Amino acid sequence: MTTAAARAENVTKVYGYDETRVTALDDVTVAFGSSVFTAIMGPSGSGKSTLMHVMAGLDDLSGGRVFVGDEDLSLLDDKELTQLRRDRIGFVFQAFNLVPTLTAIENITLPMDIAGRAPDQEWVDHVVETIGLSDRLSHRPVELSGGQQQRVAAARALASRPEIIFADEPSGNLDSRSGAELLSFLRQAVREFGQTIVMVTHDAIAASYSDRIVFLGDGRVVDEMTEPNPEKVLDRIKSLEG
Amino acid sequence: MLKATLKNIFAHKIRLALTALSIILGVGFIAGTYIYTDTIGRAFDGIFADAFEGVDIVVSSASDLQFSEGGFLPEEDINALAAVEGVDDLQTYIQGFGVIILNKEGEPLGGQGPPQFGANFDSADVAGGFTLRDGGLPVGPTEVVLDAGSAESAGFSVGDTVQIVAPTAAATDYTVVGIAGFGELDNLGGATFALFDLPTIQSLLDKDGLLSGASIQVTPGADVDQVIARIEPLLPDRGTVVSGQTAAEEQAGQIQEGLAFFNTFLLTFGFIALFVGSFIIANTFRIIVTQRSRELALLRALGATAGQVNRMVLIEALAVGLVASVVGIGVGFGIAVLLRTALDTFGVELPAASLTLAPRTIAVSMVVGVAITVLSAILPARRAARVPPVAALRDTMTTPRRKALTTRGITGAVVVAVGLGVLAIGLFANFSNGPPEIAYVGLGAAVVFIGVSILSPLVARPVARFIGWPFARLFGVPGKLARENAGRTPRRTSATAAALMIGITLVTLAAVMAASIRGTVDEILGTGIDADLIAAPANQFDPTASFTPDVADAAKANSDFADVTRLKLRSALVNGSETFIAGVENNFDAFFPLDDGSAGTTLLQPGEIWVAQGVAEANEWSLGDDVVIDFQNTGEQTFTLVGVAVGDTAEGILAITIDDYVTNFGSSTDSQVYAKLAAGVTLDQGKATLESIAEGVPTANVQTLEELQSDAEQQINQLLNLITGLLGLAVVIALIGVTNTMTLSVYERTREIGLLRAVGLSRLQTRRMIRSEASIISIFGASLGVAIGIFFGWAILQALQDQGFTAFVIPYGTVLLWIIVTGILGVIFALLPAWRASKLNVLEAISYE
Repeated sequence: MTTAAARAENVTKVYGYDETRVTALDDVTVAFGSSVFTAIMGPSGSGKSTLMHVMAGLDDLSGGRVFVGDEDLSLLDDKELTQLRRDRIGFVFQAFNLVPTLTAIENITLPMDIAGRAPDQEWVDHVVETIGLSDRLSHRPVELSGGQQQRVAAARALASRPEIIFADEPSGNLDSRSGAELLSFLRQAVREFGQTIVMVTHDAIAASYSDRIVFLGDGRVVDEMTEPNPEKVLDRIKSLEG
Repeated sequence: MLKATLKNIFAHKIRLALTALSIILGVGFIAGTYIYTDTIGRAFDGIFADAFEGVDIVVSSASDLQFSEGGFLPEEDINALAAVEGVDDLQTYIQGFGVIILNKEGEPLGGQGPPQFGANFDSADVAGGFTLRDGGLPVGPTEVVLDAGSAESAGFSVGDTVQIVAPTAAATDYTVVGIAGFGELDNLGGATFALFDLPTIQSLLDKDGLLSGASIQVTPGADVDQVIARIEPLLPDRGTVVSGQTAAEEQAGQIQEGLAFFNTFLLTFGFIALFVGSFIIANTFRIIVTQRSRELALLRALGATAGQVNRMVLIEALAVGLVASVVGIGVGFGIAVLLRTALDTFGVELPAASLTLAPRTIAVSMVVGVAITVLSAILPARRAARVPPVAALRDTMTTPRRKALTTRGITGAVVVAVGLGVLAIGLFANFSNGPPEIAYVGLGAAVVFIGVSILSPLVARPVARFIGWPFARLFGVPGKLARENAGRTPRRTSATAAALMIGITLVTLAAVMAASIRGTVDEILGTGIDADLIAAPANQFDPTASFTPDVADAAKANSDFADVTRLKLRSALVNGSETFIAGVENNFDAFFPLDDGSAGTTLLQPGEIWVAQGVAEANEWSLGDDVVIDFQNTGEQTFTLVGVAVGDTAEGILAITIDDYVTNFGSSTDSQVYAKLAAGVTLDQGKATLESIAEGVPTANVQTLEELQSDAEQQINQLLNLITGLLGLAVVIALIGVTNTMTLSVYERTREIGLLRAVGLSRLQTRRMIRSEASIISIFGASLGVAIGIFFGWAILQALQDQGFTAFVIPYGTVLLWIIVTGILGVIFALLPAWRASKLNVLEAISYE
């Protein structure tokens, strides 16, 4: 395993107080390797989304520490976290990934535009070409299909060459063909561009596109699998649930 | 359903509170106006009732003239009434304008609007209501009693020496022998009073042997009506007799009339504010309905009828309207106090009384507040009723049914055309009866506003892009997003902008009118009047203010001046309406170059008259016709029309000889004196000379033409500032609409803002995005307003061209400033929603549905 692009050390996340108290993450320690496509799996309420949120600086911690590269996120204020997300992290959400008033290409370069940084045009062209959206760049999100929208979101995440991309059920709203296209593209990004991707999913097929799967249950890391395929994943889920 | 409605109101209390605020302010202003004027009115009723207490009968001279001190009656005829059976006590009185008290620095007191009275004070308990506070009654030609207000403001007390100027005399020393109040008041609405014994004031007023009237006490047991019947046949021409009670009511009635004008003036601004508020309410309800469409659809799916959903929204509006109106009435008390404080600051002392809340005030406020709220919610309610039940199952919010562009375009164009038509009727038609033209102008303007607000969504997107360009350039991504956001919901942007448009239109209109009137004044003073110096009362608003003819006589005799002419102005009735009649000298046209339509304006003979072309046309007079003028003192007199003058400077004038003027008005004083410098005399020298001539005659205020011009401009600017200030209410309400719209937009775009924050938009950038959008919308509204305001100004000036308003000036600097200021105000009124947007929890926002 290569060096970690991001890691969590003894992370605990608790919601609510007293009777309504829910422990979403319970002393989780995990590392996500550089240039690795990692999937986080687990049933609903297992804490997989929470883990992604705290790792991406979208949510704060109840205990433990989270690092992106060597940066300890718990030491950053809101402004620094915002800059971290803008410059060093990419996001692909399940839905509503794009700003409706901006065109596809404007959405792709948005984080760099916000930062006032000029995008690496050659790289952006390359990403756009790879993702197969060259002819849709001037369209607004409403004029794109769901699959195209998610591909634009993926292109946005890649365009700024972040240290790590977090994807939250990126294919969750897509039909199987569009989903497969998107996931292949994400895998391609890891293989060809050396991108680091962490994807949260509950779908075994989606997870099988990854290099490594971390299984969560009740806020803890319960298992791990490398070089997965759908059968192996389904078997493992069954055994975990059983 | 009622329960669901009430729950909704509580669930959306912030939005509704903002909406209600626009109604509260509008209703508050209206209620405040009524409370204030009612309070003053009631106080004056009381004062006059007190003043005429113990007075059974009042004899006076009938007057239909507003700009006149009233008529005068022969003294012997009045005194003869003392012998009438049943008359126990007869007190004669006289009062006239232009008796000016000078303060210790030699400057006139008052004169900023309310008249400066001189009157007799021969008995401490007579009509007119003066009561001695200190000292005694004035006796002889050197004693005076001052009203308590003037005495206090200038620091005079009994025993002091005071200088007083009268129409017939320069400043003269008098001894203050007493201080008098008017009931409990120190003065009457800012008017000053100098009180003398009868012969002294008669001579000062140039009214020897004349009286204004008398107050009579009947013998105990005598029937007042019978005594009145006995007096009537003995009265001289133009004398009237009424009971003391009637006189009190009439005087109070005159005050009420003045108050009614003031009331209407202020109410106009209140209604403008409410009209603006109605745009805000409609917009808010429309947005709320859109945002709630899923919830409404769920109600429909559960079995609520379209009618029930419709009623639910209307009941919500009704509840908001009711609460807002009640609160508005409460706010009205505060506004009434503010109005009183404001006028107190300007030195207008009005009787203090506890605030009066008349049932009419409550009724008007409630009806207007509730009606406007409910009417504004009708269209949004119908929209709510159209939400199909299936919308509950859809994932996204229902996109509002968009009217086809052509339908919108045609509807809007038709409404604008109708509005312009009504406006044109108001501006250019002449009605002998029916509603006043101004009502058509107002209605037409309102319809135009509605039409433009229907049309403006068609241009909102490109205009927002245009206005947003500098924001995108300046602020990068936040500016660019703001620009796109401002254009993405054209109806919402337009509705918000339209509310601002109304206020800014009126502000611009006022600025255009003021600039154009200044332009006209400049034209007249620049080219229309061929004179170097003018001596005239400082108070241009008091047309009866005048001064001794000695000033002109001395100037004519002085070698510093090449030519001097005098002008006398008083009002009389012409064809039943009050008209100013000028007494002019035969060198008049050397000072006022007239484009002389015919011979005759230069050499006027007694019994002859010349008039301005507009006057001749309005009265359908042609050369040689008889012109009948009904004078207060001498009754109907016939003049022969010998000339019709063309040109701005003669506008509205009816000119007769000085001799005819003096005979008919019984006044020899001058209103204005114009002088041309002799060769080799500088302006400063000439001014100094004329000033020394007018020494001690403060009503003959000497100015160069340039000074007169800047004075006139200052007065116009003051009025402009007052009107702009009052229109500020409408602008503020519209800006609350900006806050409202931005709050709702932030709420609606929660997920989008969350996404932007997730991918790296900082809090500052988020705030900047919201504020920029508000600014773009505000500038859009201001631009529309400026355009329409300039157009309205042009149209109104076209209509007024006949009346001498020939200039049309667009104050570019002012309107540009207004656009910029509105843009900045938009930012300020978006601070709260921008702050809320920047404080959104990113994670919650992203997962927000």
